[in-house]
Amino acid sequence: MFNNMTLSDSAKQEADLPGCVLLIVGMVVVAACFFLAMSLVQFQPTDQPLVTLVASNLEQSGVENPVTAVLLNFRSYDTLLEVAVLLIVALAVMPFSLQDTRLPFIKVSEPIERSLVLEAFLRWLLPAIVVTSGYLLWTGAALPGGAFQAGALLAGAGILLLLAGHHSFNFNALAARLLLVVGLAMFLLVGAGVVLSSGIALAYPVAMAGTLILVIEVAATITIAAVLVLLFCALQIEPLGPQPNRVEKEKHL
Amino acid sequence: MTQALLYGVFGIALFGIGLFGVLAIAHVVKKILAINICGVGVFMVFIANASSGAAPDFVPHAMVLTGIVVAVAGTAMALSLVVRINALEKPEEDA
Repeated sequence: MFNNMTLSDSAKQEADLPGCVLLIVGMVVVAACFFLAMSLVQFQPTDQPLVTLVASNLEQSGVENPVTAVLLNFRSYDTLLEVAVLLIVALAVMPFSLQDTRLPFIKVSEPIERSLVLEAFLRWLLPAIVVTSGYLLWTGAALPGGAFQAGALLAGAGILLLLAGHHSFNFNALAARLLLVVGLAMFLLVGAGVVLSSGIALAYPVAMAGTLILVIEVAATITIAAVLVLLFCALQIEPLGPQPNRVEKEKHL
Repeated sequence: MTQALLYGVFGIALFGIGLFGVLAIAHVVKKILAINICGVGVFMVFIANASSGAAPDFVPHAMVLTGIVVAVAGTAMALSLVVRINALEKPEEDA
């Protein structure tokens, strides 16, 4: 839809800056970048305490991949807040409608335009994406991978499904709302639950850390995928596929 | 000049390009794009610096991974505001 937005729409009220101001702004930016680059050249990392801290505590984290260990154990507050940010953005962007809450999450209908190539391709690709996403999630414990990569891949599958035009998602459905909150809910539940054993929120007991991280990651993957697909849906003015509202309006006319 | 330093300097250059865009361009969608370029530059500096020592530092890796997702979410939020502004600016055409 941003292709259709004429570039003069927003520019008509606030015109571009005059040339001399642009020149000054450009010079200031170049000077600032030069200063930053010089300080980067002169920067000498003497000792890296975090490197040894991560390496020496990796065994207690429950996973072998140091990035996953940092994300979901050592600095899990960051990730918790990130999932919360995703939920807040989802709430801000979501097209709320009380009437749609009882409709199903996924609606299947005949697309306006059929793309045979995309449809045939998707039949092969979608299962592969889902399996690969699951693999990325599982392998995140030891190798590069994890909830974010798996969630982004799964969201790509959802967006491809939307583009094919057969399916449309209704994020006001109860099932969709559950998908959007399950990541944060599971994270909070586990984080609060471990208080019983260790006394500190989000401090997993060493023996169960791997399992708890996997549980959180599965839930986070689902939420990340759902939120990303929701963001894609919410930013479309012209929905892909069938447009029931428009048809109804035309009937009334 | 090491590889990490090269990536870092180009990250700063990307940051500068984005910063100039944010300051100089009036169009809001382009401004959002410029903020994204800015963010990518910051991520690049972070990652490049993480690998400059003897062993790679994984804490910046995790922070950038978090930052990417938050940046996507922030971009979507900004774009939805743009859509709203656009709808409010020409209400008579929508009706």
